[in-house]
Amino acid sequence: MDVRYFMNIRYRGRLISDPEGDELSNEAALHGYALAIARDLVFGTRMDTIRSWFDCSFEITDEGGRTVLVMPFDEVVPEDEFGSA
Amino acid sequence: MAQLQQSLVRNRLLGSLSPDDFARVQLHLETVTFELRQHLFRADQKISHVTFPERGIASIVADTAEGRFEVGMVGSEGLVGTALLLGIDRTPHTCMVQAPGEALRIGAGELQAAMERSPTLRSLLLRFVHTFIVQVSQTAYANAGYSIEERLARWLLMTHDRLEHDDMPITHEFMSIMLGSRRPGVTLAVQMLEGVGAIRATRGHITVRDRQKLEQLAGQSYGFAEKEYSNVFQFPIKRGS
Repeated sequence: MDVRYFMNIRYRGRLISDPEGDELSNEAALHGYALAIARDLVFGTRMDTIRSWFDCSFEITDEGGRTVLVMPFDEVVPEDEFGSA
Repeated sequence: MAQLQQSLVRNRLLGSLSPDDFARVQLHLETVTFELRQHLFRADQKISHVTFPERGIASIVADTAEGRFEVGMVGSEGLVGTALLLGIDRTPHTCMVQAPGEALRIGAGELQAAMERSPTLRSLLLRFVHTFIVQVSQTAYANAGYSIEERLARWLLMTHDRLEHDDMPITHEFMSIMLGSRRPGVTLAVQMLEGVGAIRATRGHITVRDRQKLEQLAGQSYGFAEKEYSNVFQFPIKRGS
């Protein structure tokens, strides 16, 4: 059964609510889904009003308003990636 | 069935045909409704008709492996099915209704026959193709160098040009497809535009509050193609402006 999740964004203390949400068939897929979206935003979306995408986190809620996942956009670039010698 | 009167036609291209040219196409034109998200033609499928919107907006979209994005937008100022005017019966693009309304359409063969017989008809329709190419070029320019806030301002201006009212029923999801961006980017951009008083956003609706503000935000990404249209046709894209 599909459940609607709201991809709200926390940016420098402010919460920007997602008014529409996305339907997903299971909560386990949520992290991967959020990561894919964050990746597209970080690497593909030029925004004037966001100083850095890495200042953002997803705070994903379900229809009942319960927070089901918090995901900082930092996760888009794994820590060990850059030249660990 | 009552004969279509040219003076009552809202589509600007059909309205500016000479009486002779209008008479050539008149009997072949049929009225169709535009339902939201209805497909007028699909990628690589034979295009059966050239469609002249009367009310509402059609979007030409391109599908790539990475997703879908809008290539062009047409309302009552133009037509969809430009490939047919150029002698090609299909296109890799898809045309879908972005804002519901109605249109007049004519069969591909019938229009091509009329164009062969009338250089003035052919010339007018091809002039639209030119203005459409300029619009698409501006979209490429906007997508290459402008932020999502600027591109959203441009898109809202173009949509507003083609609708009668300031209140437009549009979801963030739909705008994300049209702008080729993930929806949260659109949500953030909508917030920003609302914050500066350019628009008011409610559930499923965007209302234009300050067109000038939108034009300032869009900068050079908006206006060039619109000016070219009014240079070519001697009337502006936006009705009543």
